[in-house]
Amino acid sequence: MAVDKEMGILVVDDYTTMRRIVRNLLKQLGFDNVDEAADGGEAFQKLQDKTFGLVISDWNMEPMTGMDLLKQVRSDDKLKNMPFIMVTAESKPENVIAAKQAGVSNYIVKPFNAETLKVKMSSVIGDF
Amino acid sequence: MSEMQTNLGRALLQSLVKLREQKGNVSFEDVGAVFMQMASTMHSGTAQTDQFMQEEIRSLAEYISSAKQEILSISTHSKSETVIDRAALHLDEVIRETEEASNAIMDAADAIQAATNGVGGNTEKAIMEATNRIYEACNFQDITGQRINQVIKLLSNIEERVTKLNTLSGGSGKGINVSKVVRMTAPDDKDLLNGPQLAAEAPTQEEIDLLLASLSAKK
Repeated sequence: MAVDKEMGILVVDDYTTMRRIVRNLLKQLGFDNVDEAADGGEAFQKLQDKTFGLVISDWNMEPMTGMDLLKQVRSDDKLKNMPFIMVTAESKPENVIAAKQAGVSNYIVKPFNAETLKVKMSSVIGDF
Repeated sequence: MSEMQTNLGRALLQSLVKLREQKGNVSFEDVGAVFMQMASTMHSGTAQTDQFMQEEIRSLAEYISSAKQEILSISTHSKSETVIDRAALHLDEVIRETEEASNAIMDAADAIQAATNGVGGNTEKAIMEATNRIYEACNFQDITGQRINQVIKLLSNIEERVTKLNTLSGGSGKGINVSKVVRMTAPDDKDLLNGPQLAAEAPTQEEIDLLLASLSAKK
């Protein structure tokens, strides 16, 4: 099934520059319907209010981390199947294992490029 | 250990316990004073005076006194803020300035992309690819920001310890503000928040992919 490029994508990062970078890379990949949140709490609220097809989230944020957001998403009946990509500088194996156990769909280590983002998105939502 | 050494140790311990009972807390300075008192008593020349022990105790007392002066010189460097406080503030400025610079660079990249829109052909493609690389390179701001936050956290830890040592050595501990710039983290995944690793130690994306794949295979 073809990927709907009109689907909403929620980018979660406490650094405005990172949100801007991801938004721009998504635009280059043909995804214009992008919304942003600065931490897990704000993201979860947006996920309740609006329909998204993918979450791309940082891990290390306050007050709610990306890991906490992932756990909340997976424990929510409406959101539990939401594709969720963690984009983070936390690259230790224990982090990857913990994220996988919490149900992450894919994991990108910062710094990353457009090609990596495209490949990981394709593996989660399908080729585009 | 000789009988005299045992007796000295016991006497020292008793002095410190007594001081603690009297004052509720034994400062760094108190320990030094007890050592000095014991050294001078021994110098008065009883038949059992052990020269080695006397020199060791005197040396230890001098070391404590010197350490105390050094700690005080760090923590009273400025009335309102410590050297460490200032260093943390400077690092905060670095984060802010790199963020501003990153946004200015991306503004310029946006302007180039907008101006190129519609040019068409290989020229437009090449310019778009180049501006994408500019965006990708701006990843640095997030990574350096996290590394700097790690250093700020370390400085805060040092500052806390200096404050404690200052209190122990008789200082008030006032005028030392533990930096509040450390990121707060949720307690459940706190141990996993380490920030970026050193480049030589960090796994590559390919290694992460392999690990993820192996975890998926186990499911």
